[in-house]
Amino acid sequence: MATVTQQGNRGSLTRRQRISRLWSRVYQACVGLAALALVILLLKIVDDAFGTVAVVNVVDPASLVSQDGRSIEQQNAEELAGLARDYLDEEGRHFVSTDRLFTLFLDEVARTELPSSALRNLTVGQALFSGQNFPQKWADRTLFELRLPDVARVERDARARADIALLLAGNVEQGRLLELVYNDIVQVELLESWNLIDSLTRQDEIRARAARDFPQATLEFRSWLNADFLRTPGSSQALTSGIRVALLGTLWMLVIAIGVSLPLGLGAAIYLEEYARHANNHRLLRLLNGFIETNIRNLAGVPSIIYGILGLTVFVRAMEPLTSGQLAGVAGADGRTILSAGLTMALLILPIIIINAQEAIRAVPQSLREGSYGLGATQLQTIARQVLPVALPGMLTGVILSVSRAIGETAPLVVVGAATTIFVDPDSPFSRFTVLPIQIYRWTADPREGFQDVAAATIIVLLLLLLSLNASAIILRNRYSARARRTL
Amino acid sequence: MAQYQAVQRSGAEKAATLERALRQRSLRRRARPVESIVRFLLLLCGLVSILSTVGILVTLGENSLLFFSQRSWQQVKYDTVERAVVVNLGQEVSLAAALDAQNSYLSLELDERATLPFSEGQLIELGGERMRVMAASRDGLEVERGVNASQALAHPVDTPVFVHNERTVLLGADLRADDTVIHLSEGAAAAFQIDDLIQADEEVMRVLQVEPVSDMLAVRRGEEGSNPARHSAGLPLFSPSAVTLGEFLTGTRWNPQLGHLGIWPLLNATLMTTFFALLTALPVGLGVAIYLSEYASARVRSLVKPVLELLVGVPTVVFGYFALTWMTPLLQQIIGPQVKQFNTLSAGLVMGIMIVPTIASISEDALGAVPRALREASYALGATRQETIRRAVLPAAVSGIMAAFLLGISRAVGETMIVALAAGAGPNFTFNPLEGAETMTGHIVRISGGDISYNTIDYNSLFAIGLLLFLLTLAFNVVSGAITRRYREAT
Repeated sequence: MATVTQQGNRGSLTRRQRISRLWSRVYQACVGLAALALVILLLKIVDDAFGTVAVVNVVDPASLVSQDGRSIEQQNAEELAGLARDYLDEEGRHFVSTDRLFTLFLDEVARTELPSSALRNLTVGQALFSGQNFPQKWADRTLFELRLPDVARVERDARARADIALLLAGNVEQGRLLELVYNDIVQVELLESWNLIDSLTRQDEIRARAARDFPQATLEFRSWLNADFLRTPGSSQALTSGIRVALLGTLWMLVIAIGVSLPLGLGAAIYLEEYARHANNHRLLRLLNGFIETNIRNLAGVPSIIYGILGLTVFVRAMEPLTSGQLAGVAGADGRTILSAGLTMALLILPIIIINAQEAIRAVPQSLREGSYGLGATQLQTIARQVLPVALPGMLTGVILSVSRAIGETAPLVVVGAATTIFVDPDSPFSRFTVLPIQIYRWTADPREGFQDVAAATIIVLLLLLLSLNASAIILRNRYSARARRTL
Repeated sequence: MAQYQAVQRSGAEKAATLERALRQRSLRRRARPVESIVRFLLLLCGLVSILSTVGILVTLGENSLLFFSQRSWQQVKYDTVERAVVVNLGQEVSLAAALDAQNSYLSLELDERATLPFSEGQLIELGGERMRVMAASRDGLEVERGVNASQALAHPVDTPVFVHNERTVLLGADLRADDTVIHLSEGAAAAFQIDDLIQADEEVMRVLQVEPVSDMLAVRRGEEGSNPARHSAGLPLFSPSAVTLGEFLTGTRWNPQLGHLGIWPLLNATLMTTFFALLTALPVGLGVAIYLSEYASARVRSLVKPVLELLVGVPTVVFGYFALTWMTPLLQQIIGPQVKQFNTLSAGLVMGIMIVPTIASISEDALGAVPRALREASYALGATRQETIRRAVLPAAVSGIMAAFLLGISRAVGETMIVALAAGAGPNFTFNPLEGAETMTGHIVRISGGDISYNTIDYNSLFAIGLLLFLLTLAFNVVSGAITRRYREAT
């Protein structure tokens, strides 16, 4: 009888322990799953950002050699200008556009350091090309007129073409013309792109397919993330797309957002931690303080897209004269500017800054304040000379964390009206803008070949930026907390 | 001498009192203007956060009000009951055989060449009873008896059949610019009430009097700044309609351009992605929390924690990219080609990965707050580790886990970029997770991402959606916050 019970107990005990062990495996698996998700995510990004591409030249450089057999690199400005003339845009042909020529001229003129608004109305004959070659009949034409496609269409005769060649050869350097020939005439076209893992493991298959489908194409290994990618603005082609404008946009937006929300956030945190808790505050003031506190907690949980709607109504529409730059004398079109975006982002990160700063201030030992009061310091002196220096590293950590939040936020900026594609660097708070996550969003959604790879490369830049910010926050925290321990 | 001493003493006393008074005053609160100003400025900083909330509420509220009060003109319809007539033969329809109160088949025997005057779903009327047509043929009708609060009755042979029709209200006669009485098509006056607004072409009129018998309306012409003009007979009339809150909250079609403004297609997609997100995040997040709080050594924790922090730090648009370029193709491989390129399942699952750290960290706090004594008592009673967790620790931490769950819902409902990229563009009222459907946030992003023109119904509808989104997330956050605070105070 006793044996049976014992056996029964032992059986159930081993079973129970087996179940217990099984569950511990399940919990482990959960952790493994989370880690696996992160690893796959990162792998996928790297997989897309590098890989084999099949590219083809629209015009074979071999067909562009001069009569005496020199390749395009060896040709002088005059010969290159001749090529540009031969490959001007026509119906059904997309080579050198008049827009492009206009930009080239502008760049040339920009070296004279004239304000850009004045440039368009300058005539060709005025100071800019003085002493240089240009057809006499163009002397009275303004630069703006040069860009008009009509001009090109009307004068698409041999004479006008010769004029253009003359203008190019006489005023633009050989290096820039070479760039023009490469980008607009030779033109590399992306036919297909393979991921990194495929490129490494199924090389033969890729080669066979490329040979079958695109016999004229060349296969090459491409890192979508490269120096040119950081330097060039966006483009309608994946191969020449870059993030220069988006990077600058992100920086502008951050400067505005932090500039506005940092003083406000730290001020509010100091108020709430140091002044709001006084016992002899008026009852109404205490109510107000409690309300501010609750309000901040709730604001931190508001979905970011709501801030976007707020920004659209308040900054883009209601404050349009300010945000479009009208008040500052800029002839801006509308309020969808970096300033609006920065202010919207400032509101979004304000609660995060406040909450983090509050925690940093709360961590300052009370004895420090009491010691200061004991020596006869006023409250303001205590805050400024005792509390803030000790709380500073914690506050900075919070600020860095909110910066990384601001860098990654996308939705509110889409609503506020980030531009789809812009190619001009932002040069004032009143410029139209795009930022890194917006570019990731647009490029990911773009179904054309290669753009998802561009998105992956942009993600790598964004993640590196975030990682370095977070690392600096951690280092800062560790260093200062070690020092604080030593001094206390 | 004594007098001199007395004077001196009183002088010294006076000086002492004065000095004491001075010292006391300096110890008492002295007005410090700089301190007061700084304090006031700091308070202003705090008030900015309130401004932010006020801004959100006013913006959303004001424009939502505009949305719900904005008027769109729709053709006036009215209900008529007419003899059912076979149009091409001019033959009036009546019962071919007697009908008892139970039978749902109604025999007609129409001519072979007859075009049926009935259609599915139509209301017909026989001797005071209303029925709904379920199927129609020349020999008879399959009907649902006694609908619209009428009684199923027996009907003899040759009872005439009537049909309910919805007709648009038309002008019955030409209207001159100075007329104040409108003639309407027959029976249409019932559709109007005194003080209604009517639109004909560009002109708006106000109804002053209704004559149902002669189908005439007395109106005031040229209302709301419009000009009285000539209108010819047969012109359709329009009446204003605003989106009602009820319509907004119960409708299942969303197409602002066509006047369909039911939130459910968007809300349903939000709920679906949220459901799949929580389905992934809750077990995994809870598992991670239990592992970290009950099993992991300090060294393992120092390895796992950064992984979670990294997941928190990844911007949501990157998760969107991940959902579209990795999760969806994977699902297509596993489930098959019926998985659309945009689908709520993929978006939901990736959103779940995103929420895991949130749920894990709050649940871990809750588990950590469970007193050690509880675990030790459980072990002392001979429970295994798993039994201790399930029977002692989890029940004690349930409120905290609930808080994590609610916060997770709030995050999932408000999440935007994943669904904007992977869940689909275009409202779609479906319960199939393999199909694309646009969520509330996804809709806001898509509509406002284009060049939106202000004060259109599309623009105003964004605010109504935004308000609903705000209230939903606020409710979840507040409840979750209240629970979290309670157990923090308890420990």
